[in-house]
Amino acid sequence: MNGNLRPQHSSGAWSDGAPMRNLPREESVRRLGATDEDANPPSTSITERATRKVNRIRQFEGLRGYSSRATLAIKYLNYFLLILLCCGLTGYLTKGVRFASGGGTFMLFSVAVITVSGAVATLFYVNLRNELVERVRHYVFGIILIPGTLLAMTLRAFQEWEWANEGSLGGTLRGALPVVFLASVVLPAIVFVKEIVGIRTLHRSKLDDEESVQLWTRQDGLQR
Amino acid sequence: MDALANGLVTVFNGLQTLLDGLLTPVTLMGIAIGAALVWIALIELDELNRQGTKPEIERGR
Repeated sequence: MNGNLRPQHSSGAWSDGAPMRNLPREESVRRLGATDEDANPPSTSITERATRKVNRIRQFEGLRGYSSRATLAIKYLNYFLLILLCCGLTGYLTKGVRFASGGGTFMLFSVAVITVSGAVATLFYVNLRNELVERVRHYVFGIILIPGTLLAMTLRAFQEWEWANEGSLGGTLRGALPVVFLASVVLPAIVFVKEIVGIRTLHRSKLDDEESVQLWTRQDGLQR
Repeated sequence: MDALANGLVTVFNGLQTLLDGLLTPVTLMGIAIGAALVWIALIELDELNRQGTKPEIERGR
């Protein structure tokens, strides 16, 4: 028995109303010594489950529970709009720029590759989910979208300024900037996929058993 | 009967135009990004829900 706590009818909550952890229902009610009716609750409708979920949030998290979930939804909506905005802006700015026209489509493609492969990777690397989400965010916004859009603005400015079309420096920059743009927009997608495919290898220890045990038991000599 | 056939042809032409307009690579990439972001948001939501549940502590029997 688990103290004096009893499951509260079929809601999956403790007798004090707190929700139970995500144990299989049969296992949790078995531990609590519940009846067969508790172990096999009648199937519930979607509306009932949604209502229960909302009530549970209100009961245990209050308004903060609602606001944190609303913030999450708005955050991801903003991510999507920001992706579209940056890609559209980049597409507009790179229109007609030599070696970089269609930059917005390339950017959208890279972001699609990274988000989709990141989402698929969360299915396979369940224990690394939070880290994967962070990586996706870092690659999409920190490497591709914002630097790529700034580079597209620079490219456009160089296209417009007359001094940039004269002299060896101008020629070098005109030739180099599209390469830098494509390298910062397209290559990260390939690097990300490579990183995700080998993420288990990156985290795997290269030590053999004897070395690991020596290290863990502090017999490695490093303490002297 | 001709009016019915003409109406159906018009509806199907409209559908085809709509599909041609929507099923472009750019739109498909946008849909893929949206779906992936929804999945990632659900993962974060799951984490929020997990934090909102009471931890179960094994007690002495």
